Amino acid sequence: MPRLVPYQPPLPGQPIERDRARHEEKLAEAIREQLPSVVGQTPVLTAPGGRQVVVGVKMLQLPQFRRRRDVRAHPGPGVGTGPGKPGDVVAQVPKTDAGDLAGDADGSTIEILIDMDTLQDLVFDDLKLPRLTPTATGRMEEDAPRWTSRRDRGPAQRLDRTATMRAHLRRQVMSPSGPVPLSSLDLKYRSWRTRERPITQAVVGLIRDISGSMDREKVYLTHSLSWWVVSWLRRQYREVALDFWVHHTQAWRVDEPTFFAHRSGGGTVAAAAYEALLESWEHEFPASAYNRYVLHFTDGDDASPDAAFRALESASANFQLWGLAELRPPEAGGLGMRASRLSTALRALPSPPVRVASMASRDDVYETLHTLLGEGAEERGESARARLD
Amino acid sequence: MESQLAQDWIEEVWTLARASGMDPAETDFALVPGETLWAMASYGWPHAPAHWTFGRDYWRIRRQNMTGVSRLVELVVPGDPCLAYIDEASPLADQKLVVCHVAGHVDLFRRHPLFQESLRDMPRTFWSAAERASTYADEHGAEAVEGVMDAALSLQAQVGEPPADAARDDASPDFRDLFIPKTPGPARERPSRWALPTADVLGFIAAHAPLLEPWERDLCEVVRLAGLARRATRLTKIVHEGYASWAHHHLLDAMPLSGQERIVSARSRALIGWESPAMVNPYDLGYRLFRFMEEQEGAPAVVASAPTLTDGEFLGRWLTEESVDALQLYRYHWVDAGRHWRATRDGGDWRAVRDELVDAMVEEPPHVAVEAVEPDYTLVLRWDDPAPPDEPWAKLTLDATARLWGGGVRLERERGPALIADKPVVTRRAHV
Repeated sequence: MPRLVPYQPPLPGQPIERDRARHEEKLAEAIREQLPSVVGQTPVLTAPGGRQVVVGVKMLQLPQFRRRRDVRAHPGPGVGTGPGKPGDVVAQVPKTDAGDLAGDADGSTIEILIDMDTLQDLVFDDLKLPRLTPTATGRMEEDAPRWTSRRDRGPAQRLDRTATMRAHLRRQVMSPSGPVPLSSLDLKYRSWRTRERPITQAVVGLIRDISGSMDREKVYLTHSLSWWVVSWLRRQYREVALDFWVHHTQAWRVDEPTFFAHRSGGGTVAAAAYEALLESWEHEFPASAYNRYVLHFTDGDDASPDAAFRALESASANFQLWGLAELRPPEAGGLGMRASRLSTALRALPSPPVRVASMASRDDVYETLHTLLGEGAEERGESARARLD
Repeated sequence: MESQLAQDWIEEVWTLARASGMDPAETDFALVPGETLWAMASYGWPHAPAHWTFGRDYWRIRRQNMTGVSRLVELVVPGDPCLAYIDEASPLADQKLVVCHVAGHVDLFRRHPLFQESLRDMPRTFWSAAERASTYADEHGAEAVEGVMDAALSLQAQVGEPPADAARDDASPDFRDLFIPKTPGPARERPSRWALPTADVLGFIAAHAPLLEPWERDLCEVVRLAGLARRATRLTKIVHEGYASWAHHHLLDAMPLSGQERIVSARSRALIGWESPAMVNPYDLGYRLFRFMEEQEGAPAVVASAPTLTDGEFLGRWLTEESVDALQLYRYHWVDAGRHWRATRDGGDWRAVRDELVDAMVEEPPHVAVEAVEPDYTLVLRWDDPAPPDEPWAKLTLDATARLWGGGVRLERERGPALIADKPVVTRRAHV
C-alpha cells in the first residue's frame, strides 16, 4: 500500500546550493563575454554609482543537436481553442522594434542583479581605458585620511601590536641594564595623516542634434553613451560638471530632461553649437581650470562642416576630448554608406582630442565607448587622416 | 476536518483507483518545503551528480513559481517505490487532489512500457552516482568532472534505443564501484563487431571510446541513464499530464469531500487547466482529449489505452474531425496590422489543426545515429532527420562529442557536406 513517510533529505544541507553557486560563477564569466550587449542594454541612470542594476545575460546552454529553425519574418500559425468563426481576430500583440512578436520566446535571458560599481569595473577593465592626466586647477583640498602614522596614545582597539613589539625590542637593545619588561612606554597606536592634493575637475559638454529623426532608440543610444562616458569621468575626477546643449541650425543650452526629450525639425549646423559652446566655456569653464570633454550626438548630414572644422581648428587643443558620435551604421570599411561630411571634416583635425565614432544599435555602444576613450584611437585617427590625404 | 494529509486518504484513493482498473505503483508520499520541491524538480530526482545546469534550472523554476507563471505543487519520481513529493504549504484540499493526480502518474509508470526501465530504483541509482561523482571530483578535480559532464550532457538526448552491444557489464549500478569496468582496447575489437548503426550515441561512446578513463565512462553512463529516463518523460508529457488530470477528476468525483474542499479543489482544477484564446495548454489538451475518449468509449477504455500511447500517437490518433470539433480547436495565422500582429482564425480543416498541434507539441530530439567507426578511429555520425540540422549548434555538439571520443568525429547528412568536429584537444593523455 502507498505510505505517507516523513521527508528525509538525501544529504545534510541542500546539494542544490552547490550547483546554484557554480551556475552563478559561470554567469559572472558570461557577463564578461557579453559585455557589449550588457553595456548597450543597461538601464542608464544619471545618478552616481553604488546602486544595483538588473542586466540581462543570455541563458547558459550546453550545445546539442537540434533542428534548424528558420528565421521567419512572419510569425508562424498556431492553434487556439474556443467558439467562433473563420476571420475572427483572437489575439493582438504589439510589434517589437525588430518587427517580430514581442516577448522572450524561449526564455533565453536571465536577469541578474549586479552592483553598478562592479559592472563599471568590469567594463572599464575590459576596455583598458588609459588613465587620464588631469590638469590641476590651483585649488587644493585635503585628501581622505591615510592610516600610515603611529602615536603613543590612543584607544585600545587601535593598538598596533607589531609596532609595539618593535618599539619594545628597540628599547631592549638600547637598554644598558639588560632585558626590560614590556611597559606602557612601548605602546604604539595607529593614527592617520592627511595630505593636500590639487583639486581636479572636469566639465562634460553634451551636444545633441535635435533636427533629424531622433527616434526613441536614438535617444536611448545617446543616453546610454553619455552615461558611460560620464561614469568613467566621475571615476577620474573629483568633480564633474555637466553642460547640456541642443542644436539644429541654432544652438542653445538646456537642462537634462529637455536634453533627452526635445525634438524639432529643420536643418543641421553643428558649427552653431560648437561656436556657442566654445564662447560660453571661455568664461565659465576655462581650460586653465577645467579638463574639458565634449560629446556631440547627431544623425543628420551637416550643412556646413567647414564652419565646424574652422571652429575647432584652433580651439581643439584646449580640450581633452571632442567626440563626435554619429547615430548611423558604421561605414563598414568604406563599403555601403559613405562617411558623413561632418565626420570627414573632423577627421582632419588632430586626434586626440578629436575623435569620431558611429553607432547604430545597442550592441555598438561598447565599441563606440572604446573608440572615443580607449587607447589606440590615435592610430585610427592617423590612418583616417592618411586616407584623407 | 483534519489538518494534515492522512494515510487513510491515500489508501482510499489507491483502493478506488484499483477498483477502476488502474494499477498505481507503490508510492511513498512526503510533504516537503517548496524550495526542496524546486530543487528536486531541477534534478528530476531527489539527488543527482553535481552540475551547474541544475543550478540554472532551479533558477528558472524558482522564478516561474515566484512570479506565478506556474505553480509546482507536486513532483512524482518513478522508482521502486515511486516517490511523490507534495508542497507542504499547499492547503489540505489541494493535497488531497494532488494524491489523486499522483495516482494517475504512478499508474502510468507501472503500466507504460517506456517507464519499465525507470522503475528499477532510479532514485537510489542517481544517489549513488552523485556520491561517485563527488569522489571523482576529489580525485581528478571538479573542473575535469565538469568537462566530462558538459560533453556528455550535450549528447543526453542522443540515447535513442537500448544498447545493441553485449559488452556492457552486468554489475548493478549500485555496486558498480566494486567492479572494475571493462575497458575495450582499440586493438581488441574490430569495427565489424560493433552493432551499428545505433541511435544510442552516448551509450556507444561510453562503451567504446578508446581513450576514456573508467570514471569518465561511468559519468557518461550516468548521464545516459538520466537521458533515457528523461526521454520517456519527454515522449509522454501530454499523455502523462492529461491522464493524471483525467484520473484525478475521475477519482475525486467518487471520493468523500467536504463542501469547502470541493470549492478549493474546483479552483485548483481551474488553475491547472488554464487556457487562452491564442494558445492551447498541452496538458489541458491532453485532459480534454481523454475526456472526449471517455465520452466516446467509456472510462475503462481510457484506463486501458493510456499506457499504450506516446504523445505523437495520442494526438495523431485522437485528434479527429469529431474531437477537433468537440474541443473547439481552430488554427489561426498572424496578420500584419501595422503596429500590431493580429491572430486571425483560419477556415482550415481539422487536419491542419492536428498537424499544427503535433508539430508544436510533440517533442522529439533529432535522430542522429552512429554509423561507423573508420579505421583511423574517426567516429561517423549520421543525421537521420528530415529537417536540416542547426549547423552552428551541431558543430559545437560535435566538438563535445570529439572530446569524449578522443578522435575525429564527422556528421554525415543527406543534403550538404558533412560537418566535422575541430581537432580534439586530448588533454587527458597527461594522466599517468
